[in-house]
Amino acid sequence: MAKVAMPALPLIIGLLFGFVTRFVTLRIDYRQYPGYPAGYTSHLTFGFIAAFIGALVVPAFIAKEYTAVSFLALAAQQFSQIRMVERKSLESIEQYTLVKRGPEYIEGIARTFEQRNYLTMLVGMISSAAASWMWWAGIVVGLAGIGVSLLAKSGETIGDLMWVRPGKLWFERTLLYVDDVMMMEVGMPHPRERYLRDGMGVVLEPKNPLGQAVLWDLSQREAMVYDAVQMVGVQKDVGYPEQTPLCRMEMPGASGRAALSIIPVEKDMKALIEAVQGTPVLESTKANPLVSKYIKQLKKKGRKGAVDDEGKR
Amino acid sequence: MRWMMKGSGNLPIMFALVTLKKPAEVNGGMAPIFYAKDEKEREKIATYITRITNATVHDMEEGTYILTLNA
Repeated sequence: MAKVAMPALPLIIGLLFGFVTRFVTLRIDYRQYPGYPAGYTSHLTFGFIAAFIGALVVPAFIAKEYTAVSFLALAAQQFSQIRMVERKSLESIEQYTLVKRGPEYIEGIARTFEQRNYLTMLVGMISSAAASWMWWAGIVVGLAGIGVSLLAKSGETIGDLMWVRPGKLWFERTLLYVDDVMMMEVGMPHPRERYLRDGMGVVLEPKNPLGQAVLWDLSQREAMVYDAVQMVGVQKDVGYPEQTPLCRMEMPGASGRAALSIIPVEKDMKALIEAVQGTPVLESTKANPLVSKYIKQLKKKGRKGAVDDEGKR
Repeated sequence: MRWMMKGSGNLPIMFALVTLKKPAEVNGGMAPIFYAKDEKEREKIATYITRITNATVHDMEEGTYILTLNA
């Protein structure tokens, strides 16, 4: 069997666009991740390998190198390791963090890293496939792929689902309130003074039933607290449980509103609201059957507020 | 049970009581009781115990603090 030479141009185009995809989807912000040079290097390297594997698939098929293709499938499996590596490193950091991300937030981040690597591979693959047909088609498809992955990068945030407004911290005797939401019981006088002097509170009001369902999820609220702490800092040390930042629902009224209380290092309300609004809606929250039902209804009806009073759909 | 695994910790354990009441008024139970003679002493005892054990102070009012431990 005569061997067909593997064309180099589709490979290069696929590799290039795949790598650029990984580069633009790698970001750093106040969530501080990856946030260190080692993180950049390892993720860009992984991205390069993923792009290379993706770009190689179609040219290898054309050259009838089926062994090569099966090896690529094996290599692709290795990328599921990325999720495990990310999860492990985040969990080990968490041991000495007083305000924790929570397992579901970590899982979400790890999944995102894995998913972006697959996205890289996919963009590399489709652009090299297109380039095998016409070189300019490869460039067009590659650019489109980068555009799509940029869209996919920005998921839903808390700000899309609820209004976040400043709330007033006050005490009813020893019970800490933010507006009308009871947060906790603070027994000693000096933490109460500190709350009144340095504390900040925000109230979250869901825009629709979906927002409320998301808010009832504890891990989602933990994630918001974590992001708030990343933004404004928190005055908390070991053995001072009163100063733990909290996000609690309005109970026993169960109006669906929640409030967040924190003693920040930097008392900046605008930054705090921005942090809460920017928190990603966790995937595990969306996996809640009630929420996914709401999503379907929202899409079907195309309006906000999915269920009428009788619960008819 | 899911909520128990998440969040800051498990169920709180009643750890100790610090009270202004007399031994005749408060007794028994599973937690040790510290009797203080005035509010200043009550606060001092509560502060010491929390510094030693990471317990949280809750004011039950009418003279009693309870200290809980979030295991």
